[in-house]
Amino acid sequence: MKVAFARKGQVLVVRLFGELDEHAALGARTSIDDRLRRGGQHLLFDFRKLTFMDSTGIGLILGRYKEIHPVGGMLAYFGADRQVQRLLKISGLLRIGKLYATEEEALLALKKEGGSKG
Amino acid sequence: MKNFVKVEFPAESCNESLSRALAAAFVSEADPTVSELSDIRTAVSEAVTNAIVHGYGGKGGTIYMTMQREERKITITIQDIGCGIQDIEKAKEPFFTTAPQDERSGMGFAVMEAFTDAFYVESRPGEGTKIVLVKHLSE
Repeated sequence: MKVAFARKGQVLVVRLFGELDEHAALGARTSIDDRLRRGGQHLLFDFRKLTFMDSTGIGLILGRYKEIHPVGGMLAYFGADRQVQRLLKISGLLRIGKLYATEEEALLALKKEGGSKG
Repeated sequence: MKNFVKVEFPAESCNESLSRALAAAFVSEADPTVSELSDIRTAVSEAVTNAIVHGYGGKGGTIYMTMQREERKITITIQDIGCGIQDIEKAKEPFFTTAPQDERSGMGFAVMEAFTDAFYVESRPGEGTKIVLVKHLSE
C-alpha cells in the first residue's frame, strides 16, 4: 500500500492507496507517525483510493487517534466506500471521528471545530 | 452447482492478500454482488490474519483453507495448528485482544460476524483453531 500526505493548516491529510491489511499496517503506521512528528494537530483520512481494509486498519486509526487526542487533535475521514463505512461503524470509530463526503467539507468542519476550541 | 477447493500456504503476512484473492476467484464463478464479494474478502482476511498473528504468533506455520460452494451457499474454513484460543467467548468480545502493544483492535471476530451470515470457531489450546465462515449469496 502507498500512503501520501498533504498539510492543510493544522490538518494532516493522510491519503491511503491500495489495501490496508496486517501486512501493510506496519509500514503505513511508521510513515504516518514520522510525518505527524513533523507537524499537524488533526488527522484527516482520505479513503477514496483505499480498495480494502480489515480490522488491522481499525487498530491503526485507533492508535493514531491515541497519539493526537491528548494534545487536542481531532480525527475525521472522507471518501469511505460501503465496506469501510461498515468497519468504521462496527468498531466505534465513528464515535471518535466524523465521516464526511468530501475533503472540503471535512477540512471546513475541522477548522471550525478546532477554532472554537481555541 | 457444487464445487470445492483446498489449499495450504505458509502463515506469512504476504499471504493475507493471496487468501483474499483466492476466495474472490472461487466465489466469482457464482456471480456475487460487489458487496457480497467484499464481505467475503474481509471475513477471510480477518480469519487468516488471526491464524498468522494469534494462532502461530507470527512465527510461521501452515494455514489450511477450504472453500466450498453448494448452490448459493459459500463455506470457507481457515485452520491453523497453532496455539489455539483459551477462551473463545472472551476472544469474541469486541476490543478484546491478547496483543494490545501491537495496536490490535480486538475487532477480528466482530468483523467476521458482521460480514458473514454465520461463523463458527472451534479451538483447543495447544491444538489450533478452525474458523468457519458461511455466506449465502443472493439469487
